[in-house]
Amino acid sequence: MQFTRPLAKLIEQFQKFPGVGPKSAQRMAFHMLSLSPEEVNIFADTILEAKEKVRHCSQCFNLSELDPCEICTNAKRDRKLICVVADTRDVIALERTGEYKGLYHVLTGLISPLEGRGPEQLSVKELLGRIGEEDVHEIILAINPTIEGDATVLYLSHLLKPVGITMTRIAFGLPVGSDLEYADDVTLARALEGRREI
Amino acid sequence: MHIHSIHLKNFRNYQEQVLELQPGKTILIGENAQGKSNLLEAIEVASLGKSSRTGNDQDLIAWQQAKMIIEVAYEKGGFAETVGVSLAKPTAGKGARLERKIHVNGVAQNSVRGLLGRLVCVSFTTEDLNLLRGGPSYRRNWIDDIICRIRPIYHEDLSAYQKVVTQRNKLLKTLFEKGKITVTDQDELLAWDKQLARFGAKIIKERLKLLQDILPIAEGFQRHLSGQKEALQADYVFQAAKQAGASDPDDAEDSAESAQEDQPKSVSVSTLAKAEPAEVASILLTLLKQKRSAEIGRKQTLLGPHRDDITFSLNNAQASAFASQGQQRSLVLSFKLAELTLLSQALDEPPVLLLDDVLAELDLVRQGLLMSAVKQDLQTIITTTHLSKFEPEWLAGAKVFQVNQGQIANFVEMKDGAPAGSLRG
Repeated sequence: MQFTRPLAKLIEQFQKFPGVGPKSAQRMAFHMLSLSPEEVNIFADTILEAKEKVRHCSQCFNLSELDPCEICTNAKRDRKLICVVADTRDVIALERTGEYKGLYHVLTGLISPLEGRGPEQLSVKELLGRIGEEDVHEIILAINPTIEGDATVLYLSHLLKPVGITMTRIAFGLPVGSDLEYADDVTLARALEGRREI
Repeated sequence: MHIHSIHLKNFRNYQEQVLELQPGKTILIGENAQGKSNLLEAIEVASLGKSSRTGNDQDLIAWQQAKMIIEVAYEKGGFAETVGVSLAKPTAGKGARLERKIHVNGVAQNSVRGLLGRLVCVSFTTEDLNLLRGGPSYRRNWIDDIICRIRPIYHEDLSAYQKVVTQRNKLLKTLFEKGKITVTDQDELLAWDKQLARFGAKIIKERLKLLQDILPIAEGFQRHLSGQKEALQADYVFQAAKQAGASDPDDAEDSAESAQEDQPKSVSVSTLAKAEPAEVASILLTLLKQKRSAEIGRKQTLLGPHRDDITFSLNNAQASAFASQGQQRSLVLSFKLAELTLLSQALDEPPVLLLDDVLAELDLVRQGLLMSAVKQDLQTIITTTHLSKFEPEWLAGAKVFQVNQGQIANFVEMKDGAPAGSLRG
């Protein structure tokens, strides 16, 4: 005995989501069936609306309803600073700090040949265009310290070096308020590498 | 350090076996293919998380069984510890990979790295002649495994490097299939070259440091065995070509300039060890530039520490080519004893020594040198087919077990009056 066809299809759809296995997909589908028709309609409309209205900002490639996005049009922002990140989620994380007042540029990924992503699949050309057109003084690379992140940083630094612009990369080390003894050894080794004179 | 007990379940030809060991010498006697080496292999898996006998972990699980378990209880630095490794065949619908679980003192570990540096063993097998005669991978693995036991974080460096190679290979393959290479492609490849050089230089520096530590110790043992001073040197060979010719360390600089397509660049370890990681990285970058078109043609990364080699020379003659059989055996024994010495120093206590069928191959002088190393408080587990090949000294105070068809039992005196009386001395 299998689930009746429409239900099976719904479960399959949920199962396509990242991190969702067959059990979770079943639970979601059953929850969906338990909702009232109005609630399901709202849900369906929300999905469609998000898909329709959310797009990449034509300047910084951040996901936004507006184009250019809220950050790019904000007059209070320091236009001389561009912080390069891999993903819109990184923009949100940096915005949470409230410390950064410059603009962003979202690469929409990192260089990873295994996933078929090279510089041409990223918004690198657009970044170069912005640097050429606008009066940018510093590029801050806020990119994860992974193999792919490091390769992307190396690629960008090679590309931007001839432009003669100041380029920095955010520091890596111990989480604030954490205990040295609980830090994993790889993080600690990297923190040692990046030590600073005081 | 010594092992108290080993518990095996569905490991190779063992169904269920508990073996209690004493700190000194243990001899496992049995016919061929009864499970002597399998027991030592189990200890190796508990120590390094992998077996040197097979690249396929599936082989470790007994025929038609779903799951194998190895548990080893040992004493380290005066404290009791346990390590456990289990491998289970995947249940239906969960992919094809074996499910591996690792425990240290009952705590689950999420990677093999958790095991490294815990139960530390040095194993000496007949395969070890490959250190001189075998392909480059034997020498690389030998060195990498020693470093992993001294500095477990090195395992992380190796896997980071491996990830770079995988990504880079995929890129080379994509470029090959694309046919033409744009400026963007070149720049991307350069970024991966730099990654390879950075992580590669880290690995090479660690290997050089280890070689610098181990060579003088091995030279000492070699002098003891041969009765004369023979200078033991090593060259680090970038990009292993099929036949790495004998290389004179003195003209390594000259050959660097004229590095041909298939001519490896070899630099003496003592010279290269002085170089900064950035210098080693720039050597790799230069070599990568020379190899670029060949790499795209072959769709893979052709040089870097995953293909490098180390050549050893005695009195300036390459050991694998010019040393006699006897010299080679002595040299391998010297290397293994140097490994034992180095690990003892790093651990502040001797590791466990595993001798798989090698004693019978050693002549009296070499057995004697090994004996003098074993005499200290060193737990030694020895496998053999016949007790008669041993010097009596080996048998004194040794506990002897009989291995028969995947079962281990106390040794029973043989009919022909073997020296059973002295066994439990």
